[in-house]
Amino acid sequence: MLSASWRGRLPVYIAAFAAGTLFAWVAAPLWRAGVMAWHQDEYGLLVEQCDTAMREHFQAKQSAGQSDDAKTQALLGAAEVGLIVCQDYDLTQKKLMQWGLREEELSQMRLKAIEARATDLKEVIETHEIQY
Amino acid sequence: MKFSTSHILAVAVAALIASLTTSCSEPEAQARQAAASSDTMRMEVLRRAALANGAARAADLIIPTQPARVEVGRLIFESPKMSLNGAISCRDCHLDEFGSTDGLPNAVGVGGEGKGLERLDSNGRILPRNVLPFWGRGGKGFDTFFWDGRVRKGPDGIVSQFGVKAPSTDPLVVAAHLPSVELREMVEDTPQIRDAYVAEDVSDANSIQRALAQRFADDETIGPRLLQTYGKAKSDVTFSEIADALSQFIRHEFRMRPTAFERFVFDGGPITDAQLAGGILFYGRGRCASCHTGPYFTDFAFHSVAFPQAGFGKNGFGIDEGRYNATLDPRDRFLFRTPPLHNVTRTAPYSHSGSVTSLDKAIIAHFDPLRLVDTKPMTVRERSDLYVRLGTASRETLPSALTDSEVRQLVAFLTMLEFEAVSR
Repeated sequence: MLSASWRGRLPVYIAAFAAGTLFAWVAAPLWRAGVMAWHQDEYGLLVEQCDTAMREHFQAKQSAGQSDDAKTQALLGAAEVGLIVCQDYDLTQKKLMQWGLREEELSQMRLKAIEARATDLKEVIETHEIQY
Repeated sequence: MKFSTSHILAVAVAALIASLTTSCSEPEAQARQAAASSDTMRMEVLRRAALANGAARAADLIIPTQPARVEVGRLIFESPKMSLNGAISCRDCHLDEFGSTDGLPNAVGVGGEGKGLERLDSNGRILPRNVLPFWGRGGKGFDTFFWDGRVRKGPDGIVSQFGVKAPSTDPLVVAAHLPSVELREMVEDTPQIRDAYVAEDVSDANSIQRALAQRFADDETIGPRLLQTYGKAKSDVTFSEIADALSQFIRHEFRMRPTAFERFVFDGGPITDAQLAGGILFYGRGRCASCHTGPYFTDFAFHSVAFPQAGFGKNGFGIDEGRYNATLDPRDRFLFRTPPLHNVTRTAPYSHSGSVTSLDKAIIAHFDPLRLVDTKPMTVRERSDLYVRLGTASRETLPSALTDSEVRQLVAFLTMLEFEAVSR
């Protein structure tokens, strides 16, 4: 049996709990959105650089398979060193996870980086819209 | 209670803001970069890459010289008597304060006076190329000279405009023969000179150099030392002795010396985070080492970068076809010898025509040359020439697109290749 004073304060506790829950529910996505916005440029650049480094390494390996001259081997060596940028990418990604981002947000950031040039398409459409 | 809670809250908010901003604080980041790096994995990668690309200790590149000849060479280097009908010395264009160059985009030859801008305004004869620094010239394996490689050691001997009559088997000595007979560089271009000397014949160059050799032999200060050092009578002195003395001086004065990068690679010396990042870029995504390789950070081969052209150019009308001028092989158009990189931070401006004022821009020209030119005010002809240079450059091994911050890291790395000239 709750005492009278507890019965009097119960609505306050319920309201505080509800406010806390609401705050947590709203704040978490807001927090994640803030972290995403703050780090989009940095992370997006690393996504691009690592992707390019991996592609260049793959192509350098292909070239090395076709020719073993010193120049090709040197380029393969450079491509291997170039892959270090992927460690920067990995470390930044882990840092963002520490700050609360989940794979969903990270994939959204990667997608934004990959499709950064998509605004060009809109410009092209706007330029040529009169033709439709 | 309320008071203390609000304090705690304030401290927490302050801590949160501080933690959010520290990762982006520029001064803090700079301070971090200035301290020695502790990233052992990347340091090891850089060391291995440097060794795989031919990094060597300065001491292993030095060819010994004879002190007496070096001293005679020093006097000749600084003497305006090297100019047949003018008053210009080698030193006038190779100054200590400009990292052994003249600090100007195009060299100013005979008739020029003073240093820097004063020299540019002195009505001297403009030479269409940027003065090359002397660091490492004549060291072991440094066998290709000038922007277009017109003197080099090939598998069958010296290749130069002397043909089979090369005056020496040492390419530095052969190279030392050339400036004294270059019109506008050290010889004033007059009708008398044209009538008496200008022909496609080595014997004309020889007659100029015989006159210069006698002039030095007759000189009150240089003459006695020259004769004593080479054991010659005054009438027997030839330009070979003059060129040899000059080469001995250049080989000694501008010899390689240990750098911070040498200490890092071979002795575990310190490196900052910015230098380390720049080094990883240099040997990695920047692909710089595909041309700037070996102990002198050059492959001594010929490549194209679409630098803007400053001045009228070796071929006139603002064009310089580079290596083609030495070989007449159309495949060599717009190619230039890969510049060595020791002390490169001190030898601005950059490129074969000195058209780029800073090292940042010189690096950018390798992967984003259009950023350095405004094409709208250019004439159709100028743009057309640019397209040709871009076409040649695009066939080179291009670096990845680098950010401005990465370019600054590369510059930080290049500061590790500095050393001081301390022979005096």
